[in-house]
Parts: sequence; C-alpha cells; structure tokens
Amino acid sequence: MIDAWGIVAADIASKDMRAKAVVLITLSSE
Amino acid sequence: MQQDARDELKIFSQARGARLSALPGYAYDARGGQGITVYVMDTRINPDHPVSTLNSQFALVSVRLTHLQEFRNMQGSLRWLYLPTEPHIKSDAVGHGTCTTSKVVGPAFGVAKSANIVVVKIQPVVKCLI
Repeated sequence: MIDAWGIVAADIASKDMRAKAVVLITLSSE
Repeated sequence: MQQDARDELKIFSQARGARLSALPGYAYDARGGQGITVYVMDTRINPDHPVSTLNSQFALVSVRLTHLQEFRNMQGSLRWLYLPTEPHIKSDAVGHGTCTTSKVVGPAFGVAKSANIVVVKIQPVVKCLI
C-alpha cells in the first residue's frame, strides 16, 4: 500500500497536478 | 442531465428536501470533471471487460452494472501506473476496480464523466460487497 501511495504521489508531483488530482481508495487494503 | 441515471447516481444532484423519486435524472456540471485526474487505487480495471477473465462475485456484479462496455466510450484519458515489480497487465481479475471506476467516469454510471483516470493496483486483504 505504501509503495502504491509512493508511485501516486510521484506521478502527481511530476505532472504538477496537485490542485487537480483526486485519489480514491475504493478497496480495503493492507 | 442524464435522464436514465440510476438512483445511486441521482442522489449526487438531489437537493435538500427533494424526493428521490421525483428527480428527473442526474444533473451535473457540463464540464463533468474535465481536467481533473482521479487516481483509483483498487484491483485495476478491465477496459474491454471480457467475461472470460472474470472469476468472482464482484465480477458478476461488475458485468451486470457496466453492461460489458462501460469504458469503451469514456470521455477522459486512461493511464496505468505500476509498481516496479508488477507486470504491466491491463486487466482486473477481480472486477471490483472495474465496477468502482465505472462509477467515477463511466458514461452510464459515472459521477464525473469527463475526468481522467489513472489506474493503480493495491492488494486487498478483505472482501467487501458493493
């Protein structure tokens, strides 16, 4: 889960989408 | 206005005090989330939705709700993110992510029909019913 968050955070930062991105976690996870 | 929307979508535009049964459909901003990127962290999605790859109760629900074609006409873009150790497979063996993502951007069931999607897989530890 932490690794998944990492790639999402990196992608958002790399595309400068901080004000235009929504992250949905729609599944219970470890 | 989406007049053939299910009740679960209509409630997003339900005014306080309005009766759900009286709503003519799902009313939404014409932009429909255009320019917004939504990262869906779930079991990925199956963009073409071939029934043969689906093997769970979630999948059956997903097939029923998406009519096998929910993503074929989506308006926004679709990208996939993978962990370095993951194979680059564009499928969803469970079906849960396919269903939930259709409720974000799907032309029939989505609340933000023009948003862009980024698909991210996480490992489920418990089952949940939709």
